[in-house]
Amino acid sequence: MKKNSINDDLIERYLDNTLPVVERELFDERLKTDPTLSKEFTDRIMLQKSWVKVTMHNQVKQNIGHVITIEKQYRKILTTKWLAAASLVVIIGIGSLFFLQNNQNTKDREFLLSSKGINKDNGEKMIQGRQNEVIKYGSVDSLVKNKPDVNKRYSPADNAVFNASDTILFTWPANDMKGKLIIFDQKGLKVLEKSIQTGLVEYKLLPSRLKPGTYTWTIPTDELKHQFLIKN
Amino acid sequence: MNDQLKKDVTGLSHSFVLRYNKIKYTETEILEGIATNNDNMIRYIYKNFFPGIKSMVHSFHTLFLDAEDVFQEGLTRAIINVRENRFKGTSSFYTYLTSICRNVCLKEIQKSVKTNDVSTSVIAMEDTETPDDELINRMTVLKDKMDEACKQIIDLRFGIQKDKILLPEEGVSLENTRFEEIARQLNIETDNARQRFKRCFEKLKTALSNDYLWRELAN
Repeated sequence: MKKNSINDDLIERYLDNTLPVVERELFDERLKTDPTLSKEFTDRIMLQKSWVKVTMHNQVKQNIGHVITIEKQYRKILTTKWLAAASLVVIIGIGSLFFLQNNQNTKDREFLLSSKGINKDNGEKMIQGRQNEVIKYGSVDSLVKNKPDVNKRYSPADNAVFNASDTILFTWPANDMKGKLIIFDQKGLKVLEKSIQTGLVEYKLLPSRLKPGTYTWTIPTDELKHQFLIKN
Repeated sequence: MNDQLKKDVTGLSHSFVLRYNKIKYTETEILEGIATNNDNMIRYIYKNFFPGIKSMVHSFHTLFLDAEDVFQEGLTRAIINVRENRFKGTSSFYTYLTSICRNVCLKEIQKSVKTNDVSTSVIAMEDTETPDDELINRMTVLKDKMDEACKQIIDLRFGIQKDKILLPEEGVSLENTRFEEIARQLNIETDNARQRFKRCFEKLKTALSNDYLWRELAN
């Protein structure tokens, strides 16, 4: 053990090149003749080589790991950016749909109040009729659910309520009219039949033409009958 | 994410990344990039070669290794072999890397199954396997078990500086830092440095001589 220790010191001093010339020559000579020293020297060199290789291996591996982490992090950022952009497009798309829907509703309302044969007074009466619907169904939501199909533009809508003093405005899609508007009373008796010129889309029924009661109205091409009520 | 990583990630400009995503390197450029420790080349290799390696690793249904670990180990060996001129260039770098990664997988299967059946499947490509690979793996295990002070003084004695990347072109150059210099760096007496190294190196030798696998590999 002591000899090994002495050899270790000698080897380190030999590698440092700090041995005096004579001792260095002696060491070189011993390397050739002393198998123990020769083995220790070879092991020392082999261990140093392995140690340095291990360090180099770890350095390279660490560097690769670092680069891969950066690449993954970058991809993550890129993915997040794409997702954010896609979300923005979806939000804008949904917003546009809402906007277009609202725009369509406004246009329908403007159509009903437009100057095409409807004066302001009649328009207000139409609005009044709708307000009555609100009272009947109890909320704006229910009105929205029960409002007439604006695309077909049949008015008065089902279950609309009017006062006897109201002028009632009948409207229908232009293409549907084929000659006449018919109104039935509660017993199914025809109480009014009005010839309409092709192309007209509305008819105003002046106040007091009908007694208070429940009526239905239809036009021949429209299979549905629309019910409305006239109060005192 | 640590600060250095943040800096590295945010430091990549969009124009650079767009250019980098479109670049296709030739074999020569890949090998030059590896030899000069070019990080962009490692990114390129990861981006272009990892998907293939991943599929290959996943084809081993019995292997519970992470594809990224295999890729990292395989690329490390490939890079060192290229830097030490062991890669003969008889195949493309991608084929070479795939062979090394495949061998890493097969070695792992051999270890876990402990049968000789798989050994016939190890690709016998002369420049993919080096006898040092297993020794290095074993030494890494034993080195990791040593305390930091010992690793530090051995590193210093063997000329390994903390922030200096080792780039041997062929073989490993051996240089020993003199104890006077080590003592100066650690702010201790020269004799103290000499004794500390001697004690730690002795520990290493004892650990290696007690390790069955190391003895088997070294003989």
